[in-house]
Amino acid sequence: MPRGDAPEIGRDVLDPRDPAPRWSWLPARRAALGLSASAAPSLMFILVGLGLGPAALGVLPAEALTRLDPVVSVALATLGVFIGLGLGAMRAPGTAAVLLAASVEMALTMVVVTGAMYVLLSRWAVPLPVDAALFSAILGVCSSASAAMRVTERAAPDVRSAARIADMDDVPLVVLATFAVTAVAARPIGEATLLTVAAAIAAGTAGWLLFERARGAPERSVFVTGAVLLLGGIGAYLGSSPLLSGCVAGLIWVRTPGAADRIIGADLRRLQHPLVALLLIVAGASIQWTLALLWISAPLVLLRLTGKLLASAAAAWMTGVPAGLLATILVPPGVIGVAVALNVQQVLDSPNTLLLSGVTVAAGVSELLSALLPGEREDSC
Amino acid sequence: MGRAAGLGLIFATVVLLQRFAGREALSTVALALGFALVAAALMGELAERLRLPRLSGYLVFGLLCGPYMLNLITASMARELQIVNGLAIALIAFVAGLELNIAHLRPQLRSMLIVGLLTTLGVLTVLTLAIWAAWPWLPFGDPGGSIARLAASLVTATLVVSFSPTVTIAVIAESRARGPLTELVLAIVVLADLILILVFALAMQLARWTMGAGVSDVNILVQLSWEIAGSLAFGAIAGALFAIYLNAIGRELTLALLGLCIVLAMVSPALRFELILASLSAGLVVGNIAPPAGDQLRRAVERGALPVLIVFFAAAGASLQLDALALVGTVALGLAVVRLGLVRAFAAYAVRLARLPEFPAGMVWMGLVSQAGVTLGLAAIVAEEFPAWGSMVQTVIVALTGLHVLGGPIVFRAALARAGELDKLDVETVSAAASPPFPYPQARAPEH
Repeated sequence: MPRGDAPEIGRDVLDPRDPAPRWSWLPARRAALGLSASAAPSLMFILVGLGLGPAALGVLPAEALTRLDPVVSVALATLGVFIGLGLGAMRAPGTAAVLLAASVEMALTMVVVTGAMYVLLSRWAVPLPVDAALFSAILGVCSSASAAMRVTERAAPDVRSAARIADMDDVPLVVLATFAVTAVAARPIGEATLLTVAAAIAAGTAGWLLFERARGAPERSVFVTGAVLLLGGIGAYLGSSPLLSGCVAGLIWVRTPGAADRIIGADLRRLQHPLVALLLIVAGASIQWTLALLWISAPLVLLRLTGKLLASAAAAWMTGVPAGLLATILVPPGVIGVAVALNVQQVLDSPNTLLLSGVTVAAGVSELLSALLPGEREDSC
Repeated sequence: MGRAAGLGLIFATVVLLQRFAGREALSTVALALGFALVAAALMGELAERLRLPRLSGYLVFGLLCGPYMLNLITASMARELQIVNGLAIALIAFVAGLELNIAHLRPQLRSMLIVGLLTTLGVLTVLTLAIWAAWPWLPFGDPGGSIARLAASLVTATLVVSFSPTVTIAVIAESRARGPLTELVLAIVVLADLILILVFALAMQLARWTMGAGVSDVNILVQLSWEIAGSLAFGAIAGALFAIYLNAIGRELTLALLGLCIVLAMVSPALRFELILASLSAGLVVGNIAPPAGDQLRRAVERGALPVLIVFFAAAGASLQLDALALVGTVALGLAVVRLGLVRAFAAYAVRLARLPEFPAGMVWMGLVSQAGVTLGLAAIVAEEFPAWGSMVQTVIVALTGLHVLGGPIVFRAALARAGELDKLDVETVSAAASPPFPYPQARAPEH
């Protein structure tokens, strides 16, 4: 049984009978997490949030959204953990080349979006919650994210390579997102990042020491939940990104001996769907319908699409994967970009949610656009 | 060794963060929750090694790390930790309802009713009058006139008398006890808990009425009926819906259980229902009318309840006002002595009246010493609703619970040993008859 699938009832995650190779379940798990456009109806959750939020029914008022901040931090840390686990498990030959291609692809998209948005925003005089350059850079970071996709052993080699590029582009994104969040929080970027990494290493090591020593599943759940809360708390406490703390801890768990990665993966499986759904619902509920939103989200969709197409061509040139295939895989936005925007909104502490609204609406529209693209996605899932 | 190192690293992480970013910290809730969860769980295990209840470890953790000692959990963090209070109270009461197996209790119901009712109501009556008389000398603050003082005394006495099914079940599970004393204590403690919850609801209503909390003379009975009957009905409906979910869908039970308790905790205050009554009623319906097949619910309770309770007790420990405790420590000790004496006297009389054999039923009072979760939960409700005198009552109750939570299990275990009932219970019997060893769900599993 691949580990990405539903577990057998009563079967323990540490069961040595499980024959699946150690790394094979991670891409599947990321897809199940909702990072894949084809696996999770993220647009639906955004729409649900929109319906429940203050702009529509008001079931989720602004005060309730603020109270959900700790849960959002935990959701971000959970995403970070899965990114770290996915990164740490990639030991196949050529990983460095794939990481380089992914970084170039991500950077190119970011540059296109940031540059063009900065030019537009400078001329339009839209009221922004932060400086136009920083605002544009954050939009760039959020737009550079791609959905992970679920691949199986049966998928063609090109599809698997393309999926690895889509996975790997989250890594530089996490680092840049941390810088962006720290800048918005007006913290010293170097110090906050170093502190986040140091605290995440300590918390991750503590988790590694504890998970396998737990006396039974309930205590293990306590340790896992506590560790993820700590990771979310570290980011929130320092005005940094829980994505980074989660990613660092995920790397520790997958690289250290023992079964910490399998334990955390199996235990987080119960939380992943509710957390991601909640994250998208909160993002949807935070949307403020203004004219400025139209001015932000419409060009953002087009610029992201342009950036991703250019980036696909560049990454295709570097890796030999067909550009068309790469484009169909890189265009779906997934939830990471929305998560970063939510993270920024948390530290921004402003009633103006233009940035989050813009990224969320653009992500929803991009999700729809990606569904129109001809592609290999269904074949590869 | 690895667990100690893990605990050390968790402490080091929080110290590091506080040292470098403490004053400029943006949001502390998630950090406080994570720290309390992992570190208190480990402290609970340490307490268990010292043959103390785990929840003593959680409380001591909160006390040690709280604002009055190490200040790793600052005053604001301690307040934020209390966001789980409503959820924890709902969970505890729901599990108490699940534990109350009416069919199992039926054959001994008369004896248990006599002992339970007489002991509980007798102690409650005497203690209420004693507290009412001694109120001017107690550090609780003035609730108003003499009628208001009587209502406040009744509320306080209810808290002082209350027992802990949670700790009792934990001791039974830990010591694998089985026998007449075990069954009698288990039944009485759950029955007494139900009685005290009802009395507490009435007492709170009386307190609201006498202290002018918006209920007029005319509609007090309507209000009371609404509160009690409405709570029971609301809980029963919620329990029935949960039971339908259990039997029809039966997936993600931990999340569903937590969701149920969150709904109970949010809706009950909004409709002026008693949270504990509603949750107890939900548990009763699920446990007695539509019990789920298999042990999925038990596992869900273990998974869902443990983290909530750890945070709940850690938060209670961190909220302990040590400066006030210095003031009320003597009062708490005095109340503990009076309570113990009254429980012993009334239990002995009730056992004779019920014509139960002196041995081992005469030792039933030793199983009625423990106090824990429900008491703290009720005290939190009192403090929230009547801050003028309730917050000091809560402090006394936390101190009292601390004393009883440490002493109670030791005394009860000694009684079980004297009755020769230790190590007579196999795992299956614990699961089937005594419900989950909540909140120590996993502790004994490897040993059986």
